[in-house]
Amino acid sequence: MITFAELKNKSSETYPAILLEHFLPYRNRKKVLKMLLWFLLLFFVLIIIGPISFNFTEETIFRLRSAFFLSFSVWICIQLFDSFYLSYYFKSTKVNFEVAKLIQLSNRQDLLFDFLNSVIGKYTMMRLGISEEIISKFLEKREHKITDLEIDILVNPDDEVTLKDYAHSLYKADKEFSHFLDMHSISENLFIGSLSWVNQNQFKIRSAERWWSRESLSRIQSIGRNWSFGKIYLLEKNGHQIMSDSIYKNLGDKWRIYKDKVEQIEQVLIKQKGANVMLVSPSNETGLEIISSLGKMILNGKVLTELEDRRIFVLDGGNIIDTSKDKITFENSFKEILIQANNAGNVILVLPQLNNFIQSAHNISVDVATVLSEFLISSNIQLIATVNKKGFHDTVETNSDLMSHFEKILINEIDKNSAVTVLQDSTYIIEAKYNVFFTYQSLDEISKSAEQYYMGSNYSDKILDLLQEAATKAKAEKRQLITREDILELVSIKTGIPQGNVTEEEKDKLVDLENILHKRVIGQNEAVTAIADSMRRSRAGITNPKRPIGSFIFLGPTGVGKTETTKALAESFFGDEKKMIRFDMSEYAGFDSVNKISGIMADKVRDQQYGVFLLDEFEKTSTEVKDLFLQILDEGQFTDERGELINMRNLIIIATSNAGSEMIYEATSNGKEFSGIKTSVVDGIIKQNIFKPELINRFDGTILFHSLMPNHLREISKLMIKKLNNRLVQKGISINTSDQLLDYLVKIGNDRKFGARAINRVIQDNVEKIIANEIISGNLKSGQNISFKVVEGDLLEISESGNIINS
Amino acid sequence: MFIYPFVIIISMNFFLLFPYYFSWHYTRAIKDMVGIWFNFVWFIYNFFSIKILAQTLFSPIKRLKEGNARSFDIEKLLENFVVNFVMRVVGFFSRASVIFVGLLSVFLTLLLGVIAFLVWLSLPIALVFVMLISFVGLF
Repeated sequence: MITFAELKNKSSETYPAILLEHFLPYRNRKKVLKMLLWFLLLFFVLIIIGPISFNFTEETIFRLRSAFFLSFSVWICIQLFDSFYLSYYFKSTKVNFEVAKLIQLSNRQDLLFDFLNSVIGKYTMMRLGISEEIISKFLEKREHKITDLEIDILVNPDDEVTLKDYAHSLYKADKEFSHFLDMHSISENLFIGSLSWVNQNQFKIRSAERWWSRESLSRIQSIGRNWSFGKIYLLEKNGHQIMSDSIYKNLGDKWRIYKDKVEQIEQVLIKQKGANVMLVSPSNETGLEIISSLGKMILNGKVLTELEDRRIFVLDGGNIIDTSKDKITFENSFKEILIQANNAGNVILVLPQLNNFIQSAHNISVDVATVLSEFLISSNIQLIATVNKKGFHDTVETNSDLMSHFEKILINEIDKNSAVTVLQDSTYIIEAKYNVFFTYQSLDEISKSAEQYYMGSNYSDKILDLLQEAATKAKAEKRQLITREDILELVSIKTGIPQGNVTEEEKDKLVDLENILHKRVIGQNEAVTAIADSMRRSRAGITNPKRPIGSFIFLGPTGVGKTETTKALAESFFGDEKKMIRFDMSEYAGFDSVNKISGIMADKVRDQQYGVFLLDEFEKTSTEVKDLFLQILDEGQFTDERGELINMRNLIIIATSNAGSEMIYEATSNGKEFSGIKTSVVDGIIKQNIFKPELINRFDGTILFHSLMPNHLREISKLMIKKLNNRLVQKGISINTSDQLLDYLVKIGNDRKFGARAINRVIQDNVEKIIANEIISGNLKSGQNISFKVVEGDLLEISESGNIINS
Repeated sequence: MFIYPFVIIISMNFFLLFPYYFSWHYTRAIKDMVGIWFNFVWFIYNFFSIKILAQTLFSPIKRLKEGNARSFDIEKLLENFVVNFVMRVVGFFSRASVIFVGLLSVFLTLLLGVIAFLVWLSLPIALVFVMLISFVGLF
């Protein structure tokens, strides 16, 4: 921690340039230089054409020449001052230049005012979507102004003071300011993120002015180098240049995303010998996208000099194996290709899906590593192998000889932080193209949404897509400003998942969710409340975004409403009973169950990423599948057999099980306090090895469904008759729901084993049977009612006058 | 550096900028200039691929060459020899010409560097002089 005075002392090194900034700021210098260039052009043209076109006198020409030289010398002077400024700006000092500027130019009586009125402060707030007017009002109304004596800079005395450090200290010191930001839904992270973005952009603009730096010069393409490299017709036959690959053609702007990784590859490839890269990526496509990005940078002359004449070829290993009949032919043709490529001297050979190539070659008894060995140590050729993570662990990593010649570069899915960096770079291009302005919050939301709603190989595409689409949409609606809400709306349209502020209709539904669910679910208050709470938490955005929306295990006997509750949830909250992916887990009990279920699950979730995911009879699945769900419940994602990440974070996962139903039944029958038996039911299940304790604990809630009592069955009967009535309405027929009928259904349908399903069966076997017979025989016609009576334990139909018609 | 503490104490003055500027112009700027000058020489040397072209000066252009005849065939051998010789000659002349232009450019860059250095040293005086003359000429 250091004081303001100490910081001021520390930042004195760059004082000369700050003094220049005070009198002639950077932006004004640029404006003056531009203006002077126009003057110079004007004077020059007048000097040339003046004597002929305007009959200028000698004296006028002399004055014009003087004006030209005066402007020119002023122009040179300002350019010199600019160089003076840049020299200090890029000087490595203990205090960031912008911080030094703020400190040195501050009057020390109102540090926040100084910050908000600086160029960087104004831009930062503009990117946060807060207008100058609002800031002025806030500054006027403040009760307290932070002076130099009231702030401590929260850094180690020996460390460099960055702009982030200063902003953080100011944020902490000025409570009114942090409150003001809070009122505008701006967290400290957003504030500092926006500031860093503006600062980095300034740095990039100034860096671009230094075209004479070795970094800039090294990326200009040189001449004559390719004369020294040879032809590679064998490789052209058994492979293709990266530029002709469809992945390269569809790369678009995406190469920017991989710039860091490409630079990492560059560093390996410029090594003298054995410069080979093993790209371990989530999918083969990602690996080839990164290599395509390298190809794009070579083509644009944006790589290091050592690599600028390289040609990238993708080997078609499968083709060589297919056309070679045996081991000898394959070894010879593969070697010839490698020799020619090696002799050419400038080939980067890509071996896509090396694991598959190794396997296929192994099938004809060829050890790829042996054939490659002499080329892996050559300085004339470089190899880049791509392999997905699974293939790497299964096939490649175990081959230590092969691995010793490769440098492994691990490609993970782009995380939120890198997404923001990529977005920030691309934003300026999109803004200039569409004449729009993105707030920092909108970019933050794009990266968050991309992380939440898109995964796998789609992820990086989606960030740029969202940016582009948001710009196009705003342009079409003739708006310039793109805010967080615009992004939420766009994501909502694209995914069908409600975003942003809760609408009135949605609010009513959420508040009343228990009652809505109870229209279909009788009893089971605990389950209904748990689900409703979970939905409200999720929609309020306070759940962990890296886990499913909610996850429950429903325990209880058959026919007590477990599946019905799930359906009711899908219907009431997601708008449709079909918004449910249902798995009968007893089908996944075999030895290959994980492979079987992960493929089907991946396909289904890709089609419908928002809704209820129901795992019926969860106890019947294999231990391996249960272990897979350990991961899914924890991380909200899993990797399918192709190595792609599947997003399960927008689903409510509900597992149902009959395990422990005996205990539940007994407890309900004996009228025990229901909440008290949960622990013993769960303990019993764990003891019987049905579920591991860690699996049960991963669920957000273990919900016990009680057995149905006669009063519940009566309500259920009512509901079922109502459903039947709804079906009969189409035929113009209705049933009179009498107490006698309901009593009959409850009496006959009271089955401990099957719960409400037994009622359903009684209705089918008795009520529906009688109605069907009557319709077919023509006795029951449109416009008629049908009533039932119980006589000596049998259900009989009675006519409208009260007479018994049928038995 | 000795002057900085005083500057912090006294208020900012526009005229203070000039001593700062001149002190930079004749110290740190010269150091920067030498660095930039080296960057240019290095760039020109690489731009004309002088090193790699010199290393492969006598190689055939684009590594084109005819393979050795499998059996002893004097006609084939002669033909190969002629083709390979022509390729090497073509390679030599094209490379040599680029190397020549490259070296000339390096030399010019070095020379321009010296000139730029001399111009830099006299620039403040020259600018004041030009400004005065043109100002007088204007009015």
